[in-house]
Amino acid sequence: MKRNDRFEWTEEERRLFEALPRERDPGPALRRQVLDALRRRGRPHRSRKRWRRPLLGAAAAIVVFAAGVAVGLSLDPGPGARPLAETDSLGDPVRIQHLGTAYATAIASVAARDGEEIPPEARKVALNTLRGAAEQLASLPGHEPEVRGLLLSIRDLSGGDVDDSATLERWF
Amino acid sequence: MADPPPDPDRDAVERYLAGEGEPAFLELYERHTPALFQFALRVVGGSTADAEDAVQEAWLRASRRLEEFRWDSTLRTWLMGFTLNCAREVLRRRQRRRRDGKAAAAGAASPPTTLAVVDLERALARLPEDFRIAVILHDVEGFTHAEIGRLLGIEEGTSRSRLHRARRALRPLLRP
Repeated sequence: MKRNDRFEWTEEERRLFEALPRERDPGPALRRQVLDALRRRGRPHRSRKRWRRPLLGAAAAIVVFAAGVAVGLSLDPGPGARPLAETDSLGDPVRIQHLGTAYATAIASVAARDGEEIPPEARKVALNTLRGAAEQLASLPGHEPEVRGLLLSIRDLSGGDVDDSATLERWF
Repeated sequence: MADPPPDPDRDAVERYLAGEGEPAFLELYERHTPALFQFALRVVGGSTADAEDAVQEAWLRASRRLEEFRWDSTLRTWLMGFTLNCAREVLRRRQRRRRDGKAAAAGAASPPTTLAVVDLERALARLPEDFRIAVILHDVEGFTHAEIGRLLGIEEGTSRSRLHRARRALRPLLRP
């Protein structure tokens, strides 16, 4: 911004313009209104692009992990996995894998939606569900490093919304 | 050579986009709203309620578009563009209400401090909308004709001639 073309005003008129206030505090009521309006629209919110990519990555990791578990069960169910296989009524690792894939993808899709399309509470629920899925997988022995990485990435995504530090300490 | 000082706006916008959310937004809000509110107040001709509506809507739109801001102007200038558009929409709504005979008395802003400034504020408020905006953008806020042209979607030459006519219209209003 640059001042020019002021030649038409007299000195007195110029001083008047200079004396005009440039700022005025609208008061706390407007601040409240703006924040309320933003919250109703699900903002201030995280960037959609920054949310979506790692969330879908986390979902993909769960899917790959679940697929590995399912394949492992079908080939040689070990002592740690046997209780799951025995209590699962489907009894078909391929079907388990398909259901798990659809489930994780749907949840991740909900969690990655922009705040305007979905209430923030729903996104929080979706994130918690993803975390729950990861914790269930963590109960199977032998995959602690992968699951730990997964939980950490979900914690990063959820920011302050989900406090899973206690969970991480409990599991690992 | 020393590094340039960090831009607090850029820092807050980056934190907002990185997911900090409300604290970063509030930092931007507190820094820019007094100027945006005063600007909107002048554009709408002194109605506090209309200026509040304009500023609120401007923040809502700007927060939605922050990811698209490319820093080819200052953040303040970018935000003033939203505020100007929203204030003009408020004015159009007010004109429609008046035409419908449903105009409500607008709450007047609290008076400024000196008599001379009061005279100028009143004179500005009495100008036709296009003239008022030309004077506010150029003579009060210091925008160039190129910037005004971009903000209003008009040619630089149009901005110059509009300002000239606006000043000619304003001067008699300043004389008792």
